Amino acid sequence: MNSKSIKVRTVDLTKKFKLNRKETITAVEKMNLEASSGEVLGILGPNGAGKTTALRMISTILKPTSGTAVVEGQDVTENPLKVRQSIGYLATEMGLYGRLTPRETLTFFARINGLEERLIKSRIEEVFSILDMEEFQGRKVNNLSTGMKQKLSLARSIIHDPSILIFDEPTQGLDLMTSKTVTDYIKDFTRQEKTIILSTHIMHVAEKLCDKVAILFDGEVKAFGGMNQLLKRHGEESLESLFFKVAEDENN
Amino acid sequence: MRNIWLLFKKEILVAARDRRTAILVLVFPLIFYPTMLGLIFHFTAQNVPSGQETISRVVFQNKETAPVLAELFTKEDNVVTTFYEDEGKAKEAYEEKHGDLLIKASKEESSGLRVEISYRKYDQNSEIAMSRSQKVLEEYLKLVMKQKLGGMGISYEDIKPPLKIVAESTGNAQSAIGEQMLQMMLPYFVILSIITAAMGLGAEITAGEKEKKTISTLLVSRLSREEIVVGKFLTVFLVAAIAALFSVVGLIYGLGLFGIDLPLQGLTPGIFISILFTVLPLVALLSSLVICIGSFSRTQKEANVYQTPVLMLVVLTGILSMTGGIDLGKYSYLIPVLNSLETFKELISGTVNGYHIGATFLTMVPLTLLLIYLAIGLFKREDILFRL
Repeated sequence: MNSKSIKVRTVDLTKKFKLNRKETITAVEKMNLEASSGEVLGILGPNGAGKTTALRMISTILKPTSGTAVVEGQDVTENPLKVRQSIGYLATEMGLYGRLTPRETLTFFARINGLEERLIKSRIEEVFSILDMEEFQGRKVNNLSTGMKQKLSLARSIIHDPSILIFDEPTQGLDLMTSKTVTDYIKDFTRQEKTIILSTHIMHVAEKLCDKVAILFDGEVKAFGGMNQLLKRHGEESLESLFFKVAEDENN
Repeated sequence: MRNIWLLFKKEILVAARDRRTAILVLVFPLIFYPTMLGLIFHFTAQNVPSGQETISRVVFQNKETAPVLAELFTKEDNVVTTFYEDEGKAKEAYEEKHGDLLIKASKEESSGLRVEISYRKYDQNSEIAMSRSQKVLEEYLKLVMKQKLGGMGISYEDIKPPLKIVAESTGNAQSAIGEQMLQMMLPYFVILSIITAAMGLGAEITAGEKEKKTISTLLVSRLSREEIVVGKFLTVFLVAAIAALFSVVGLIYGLGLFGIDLPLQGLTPGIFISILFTVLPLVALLSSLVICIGSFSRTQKEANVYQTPVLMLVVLTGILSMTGGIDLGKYSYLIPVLNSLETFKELISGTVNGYHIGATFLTMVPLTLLLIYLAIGLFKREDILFRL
């Protein structure tokens, strides 16, 4: 029996976009996933598979066309505000305000994410320490390197200490060193019993971090389960070979 | 309210650090506009004829027909008369601006003498020449009357005209320009400052958020769509209001440096408050409009394209109001932007009309609220936010 509580669950989660009067595309089709506390769920797939759309629905940025997601017991369609109170979101694009410093950025996001004023300063210092950001905390974002910006982006997503973290391609565009730094931090978060859902198309990141994996093609979940379980079920030795096998089956 | 305030503070901080905001809010209203206008009007004032010093050039055709009249023109102070017999040549001289006035004398059976005068209405020199020629003609008429009455055995002095008109021109070119500046140019430049400050910032904090991909981070926070839109609207409103205030300050002090004094003695505190009731709704309306446009646009460039016709409409309305080209009577005060300009002009000249102020306020505030409501609606549409 799994003693860990399920923190995030999707139920037939579907998203369709209307391109014009005649054309509709289905970005995500009947997705059923779940992630428990302290678990890292990886959503793998090629570009255009629907990973970002799925994460955006879970984080209430997009509304599902049908189906739903339940985050910390709250339905994303019925109580989006309550859902947002429990999540931290890291987008693919860093989306930082260039004229603010990291300290100003974190102060702003701490406040709008509901962190109590008396806790903000200490929390910022804590995050700076965790992510090794003291050196550039007073520099404007426009003057930071890509690695520094990614750290800040990560800091922003955790500043209010949410229990659920949603990371969309967290190592995108990063060099190996910075990528390792980010993946190490993600590993640390799981030790704090945080639930992490991340999307990636980089196999070694998924292998390093994920407890559970969902492989997505054309908006549909083609494989889902614990890493080892999946490998055994499909008779594959690595996630990469599993991924290509699923892709081949899909093409056939 | 707290969330709106938090967003507003952040937006103001970011805007304050933007060089473009500084240029549009400070440099343009405080330095560029006053300098440009001051130079234009300084040199214009130097060329404005003061009346007394101007020499009027009269082209007189057909001297033989009216020798006495021609003689009177010759003797008149500050008038130089050139005589032509040929009608074509006289007309040519006038049209080529060798003369400020064209006088054509001809015989007429009923009155004896017919005098046709051509002058250029909007040409100050021509207007002065016309005024002087009227004086000469009055003198000529008096002479003729004296002769005719003398022939009838009546003395002219016995039938003195019952009315004597004495007209005195007060003021000088500088004060005339000052009044003109205050009533026409000040409202126009205030509105120009408002719209230029609002446009740039409005596009950046709405469409710019989508372009720079910062929008998602706001959408996953505890800020509601309504709070996001209202916070951004208040940011643009404040910046545009500051730009308006600085344009007033800049024009007053900047023009003063060029020796153009604006007649401000009529601006009482009551009138100043009335001006606020007129200008602030205008600031709110234009701010909400640019927020709405920016909310719809995918990029800042796209927002600028959509804002251009708005800018042109505002500028055109300003120009027409300034030149007195629009006369819709009471209905002017029901047309947004125009009503604000017209009421502003009235208030500056010391006229307080409650109906005009009320109509201005009551037309613009609901429109502002409607535009904010529309912007909120746009912020809730995924296809607009992410342009899917």
